[in-house]
Amino acid sequence: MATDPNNKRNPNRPQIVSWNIPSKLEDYLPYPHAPSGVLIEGHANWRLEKPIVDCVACKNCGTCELLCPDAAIFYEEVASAKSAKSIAIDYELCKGCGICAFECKFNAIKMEKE
Amino acid sequence: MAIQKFLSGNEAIAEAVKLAKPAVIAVYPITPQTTVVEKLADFVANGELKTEFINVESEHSALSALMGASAMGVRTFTATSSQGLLYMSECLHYAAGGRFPIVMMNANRAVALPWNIFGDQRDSLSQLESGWIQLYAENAQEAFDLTLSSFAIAENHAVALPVMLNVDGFALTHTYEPLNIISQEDADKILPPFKPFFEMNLEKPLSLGFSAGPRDNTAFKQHQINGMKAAAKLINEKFGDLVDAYKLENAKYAIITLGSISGLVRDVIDELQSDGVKVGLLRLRSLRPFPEEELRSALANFKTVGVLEKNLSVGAENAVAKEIKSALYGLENAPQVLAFSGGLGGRDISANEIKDIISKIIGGEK
Ligand code: SF4
Ligand code: SF4
Repeated sequence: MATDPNNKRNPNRPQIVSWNIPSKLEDYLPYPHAPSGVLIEGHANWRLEKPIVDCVACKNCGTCELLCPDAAIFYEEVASAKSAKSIAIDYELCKGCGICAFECKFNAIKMEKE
Repeated sequence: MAIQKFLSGNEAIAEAVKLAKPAVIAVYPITPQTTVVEKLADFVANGELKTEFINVESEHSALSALMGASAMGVRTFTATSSQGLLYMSECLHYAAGGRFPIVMMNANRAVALPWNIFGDQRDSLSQLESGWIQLYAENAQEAFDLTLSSFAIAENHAVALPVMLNVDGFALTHTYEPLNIISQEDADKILPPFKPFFEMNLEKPLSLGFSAGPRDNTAFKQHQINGMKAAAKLINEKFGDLVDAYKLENAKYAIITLGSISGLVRDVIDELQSDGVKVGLLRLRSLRPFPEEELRSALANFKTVGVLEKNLSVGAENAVAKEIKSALYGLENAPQVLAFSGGLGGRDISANEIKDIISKIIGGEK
């Protein structure tokens, strides 16, 4: 298990540790506990639709961040504006449930077909 | 050096837990386990046992708290009975699948309805498939010894499974026996300090209890099976065998028991054998791991065996009898297996009833 060097993730987010599907029993962990960051079951491939944030409509209210069941929504620093932060979605963790889009009072999240 | 004490089964278990020095005990009182909790609380209050003693609000929480504690790399203990065990049921599977080496004493008691607080074995036998090691003690001394053994078995890295030590409610938990209580020094030899199989800490955080879907789930279960096999080997090598045979050498018929009733069955067998009746006893000390090989070799040449369990499978043959039949299946001239329920809701099983059962075994009738 190793951190993927090609994985350009926000350094403040949990890093994903790559996990090769074992081909034989001995290569499996003997217990269902892995070093943090290993996603035995990735969520990304569950998605039929993915949430897209409209940064103009978004009021930064934080509702979606609070309600996302998979903690896939976070505040990201905006490169162009110092100390400004905007909502971002971690698509490695997002499972496409659509709760964020449903709960946003400002229609700032749209679900788009994958 | 051992000292002699006159103790109840529950007090004996509390003494053994004190010697095992678990770092965390999370427990909810329930008859007939309560005096284990009381005694342990006394030990903590008077400074004899240094442990984090968590008075949880339910059995479900007791086991959940211990999974957390165990993940942090410490020795853990709980105790329960009957409805409490069933309330834990979800966590039982969780703890075994998570390979948390928790030790739990279960005071065997009937399950409701009708409401009943007395001893039988329906509680633990209904949880055979939870993945826990299940041991059954015959008397308070064995309960004491097995408590220490249970920690050593659970914490062995090849095993890494939780252990449920079953002790007949009231018959063992509340009756007094003179006991040999070993010294702390000897206990430490049987049970070295806990070395975790895996460990959660802030420097090396773990994603605890991840999900494993259709592709991977079976592999984790296969690891659990291997843990059970290692437990069978370890118990047979170091902790007194999965089965306990009594006067089976010249017998053609056997009665199979688990728990405290075995004592009375021994007396009946003594009497009957002195009259020339060829009946012996096979007591199951462990139901998980199930002693399949041991049963096949011990009972190969028997005509009929009867299984007496304080249990009832409504609408099917009793659980233990069924498993024994399955263990003996395929043997040439495999013995006939008869199932007997007894002791339900604490109902006494008399010596005469045991004689009745034995004559049915010999007569080959149900
Ligand atoms: S709920 Fe809507 S408005 Fe609020 S932060 Fe999320 S996307 Fe922006
Ligand atoms: S779709 Fe669901 S999982 Fe994805 S960001 Fe929205 S709430 Fe979170």
